[in-house]
Amino acid sequence: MTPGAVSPEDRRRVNDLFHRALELPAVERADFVRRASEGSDVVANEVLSLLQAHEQPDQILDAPLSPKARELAEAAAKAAALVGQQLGQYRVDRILGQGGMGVVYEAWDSDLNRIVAMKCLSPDTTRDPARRERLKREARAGAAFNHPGIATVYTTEEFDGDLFLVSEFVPGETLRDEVARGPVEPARLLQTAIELAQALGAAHDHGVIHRDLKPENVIRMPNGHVKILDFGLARLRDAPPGTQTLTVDGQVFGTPAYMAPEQLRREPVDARSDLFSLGVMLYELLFGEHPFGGADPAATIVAIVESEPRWPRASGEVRASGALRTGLEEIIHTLLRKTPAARFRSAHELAAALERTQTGRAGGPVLQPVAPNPDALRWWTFHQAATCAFYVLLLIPIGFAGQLLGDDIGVPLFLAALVVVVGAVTLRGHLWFTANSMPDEFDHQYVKTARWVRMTDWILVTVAAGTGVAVYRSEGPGRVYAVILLIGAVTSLIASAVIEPATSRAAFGRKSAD
Amino acid sequence: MSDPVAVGEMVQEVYTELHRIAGGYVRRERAQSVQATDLVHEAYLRLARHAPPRWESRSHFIAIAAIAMRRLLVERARARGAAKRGGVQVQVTLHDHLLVDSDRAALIDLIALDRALTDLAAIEPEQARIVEARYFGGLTVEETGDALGISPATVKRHWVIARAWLVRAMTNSPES
Repeated sequence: MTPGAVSPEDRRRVNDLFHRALELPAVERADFVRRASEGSDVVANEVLSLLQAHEQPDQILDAPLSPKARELAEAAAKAAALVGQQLGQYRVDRILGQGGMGVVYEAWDSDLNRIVAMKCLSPDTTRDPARRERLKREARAGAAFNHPGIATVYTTEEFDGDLFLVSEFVPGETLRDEVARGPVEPARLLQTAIELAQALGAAHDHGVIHRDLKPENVIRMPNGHVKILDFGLARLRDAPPGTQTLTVDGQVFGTPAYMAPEQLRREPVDARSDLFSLGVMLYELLFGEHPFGGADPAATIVAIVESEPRWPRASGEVRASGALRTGLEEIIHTLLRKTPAARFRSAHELAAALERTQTGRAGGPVLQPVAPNPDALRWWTFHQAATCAFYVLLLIPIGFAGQLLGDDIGVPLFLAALVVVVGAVTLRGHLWFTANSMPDEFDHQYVKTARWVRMTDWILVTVAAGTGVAVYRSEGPGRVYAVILLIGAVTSLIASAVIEPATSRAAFGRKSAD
Repeated sequence: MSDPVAVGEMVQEVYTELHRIAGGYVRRERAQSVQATDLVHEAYLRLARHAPPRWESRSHFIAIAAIAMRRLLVERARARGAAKRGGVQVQVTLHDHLLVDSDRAALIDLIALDRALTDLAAIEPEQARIVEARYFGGLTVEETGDALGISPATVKRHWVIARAWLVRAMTNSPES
């Protein structure tokens, strides 16, 4: 039946008959409809077919499609209701948009006579008092820091239970809008990249990592300069320790499309993760597309972790700005390396490389080779070798002590110790090989194996100490073994917990893995 | 009480604007990981930003936002369908579960529902708007009445018949 088959006049009768029929018991409805339709088959058939459809169980329309939709709409209505209101010294003028953790307004600060941006932090973020305090503390720390390339945080305010982050109002449009218009000229992009690298460098020097750098978070002001928004805030959105999910209170944190591989793998994040995100952004600005863009978000995430970025072939027209473009491409390539250690060591180093490209002094390698400190590397190697030797030697007192304890306990104990020692030595050998033959890979391998190395250390410490305590009570040389084993356990513990992290840091400039 | 004529005018405007927003998002979403909730949130905020003097009550706003919801979800479903036909493996539902729970989403042919609802709107515009407000916006009977300027009793009557109409349209749909 086509909708047009029933005239508007008949429709009214259909509606009327349908409702009157519904008031009757089901068995009487058909008769009623035929009688009441006064000979109009069109009306009767339409009503009967609708009644039949009405009887059908229906799993689709019985509940609203999205319970969340209403919640979101209410939040938007609430946001809109704030416009025009006076909150303390601030007059809320308009909604600027949705920021990382809440709605951002433009407001007038009548005490200081200036325009400010006010972010109303979503209740999800601020419900927990501990997090609320942490947020305020972070904001205070941010307020102490000033850089022309970073939007300054002024203060936090509370109105009616809502927590607001008050910061510098930055006029202009986001780099997202710029990306949408297509590729950016290399010369202009280079200048932008230098400003961003310098701003990042300044923040990193203060120990603040952005963690959610993306085109939406960078504003190009009318004077052509750029400013980064929301510095350091992403950390506050991280899951509390112990939870390993991507969501907190149902809120997904940030945009994975700009996250570094180590960030997506939930490995330790440092300043070099920001460099990767900057690389994705610069790539997008240079080529007008995402370096890892897959068919869908999941594919993009996989590509960031596993695949190399696509490099579009240069067409004849872009060759005009050859040197600059090549220089930029090479720098972006370096920023997009999977292993943090293979990127630039710092944003300052990146800024320097960009400046060299800008003034045409490029030519050498983009990245100064990341040579491990040779002195420290020697110590690190010595420490690894000494630990291996020590572990092997430790097997001797464990073996003898095992004999005193009897075969039932001694043999399994010795075998367990042997397995652990073989594991520990193999892992250290692997690290030693990586450090010497593939320094670029070291960081990644270190992060991957550190936990296992630590585990073998501690199992061995436990076995040695346990054997020592057990054998102390037996006759004769038992005491001697006990003392040797306990000293061995303590030494291993100190080596694993203190010396190893220190030598690694000295040699490779990286923190211990956890 | 809202003026139904004004609502009708606004709906047209909102449709045009949302079509644009939804299209842009679907394109963006292909390469990046954009959550459906974020899309809707942003679209709602845009509405809230542009509309303030034009909507009078919260439920009125939610009813308008429901249109945004319908547009966005249908555009997404279409994009998914197009990508599938083009032989591209897509799995865009990754983040949709926050909006629509996946068990239900599997049962719903949103494109067929959208088509049926458009047909219904051609003959019974008020009924179609009620479905939009209740189904896509999650408004209660009372709120829907408030938003559209009609009595709750009328909302209930319209809803029952509109539901039957849509169920029939979707069961007879040639593609299902």
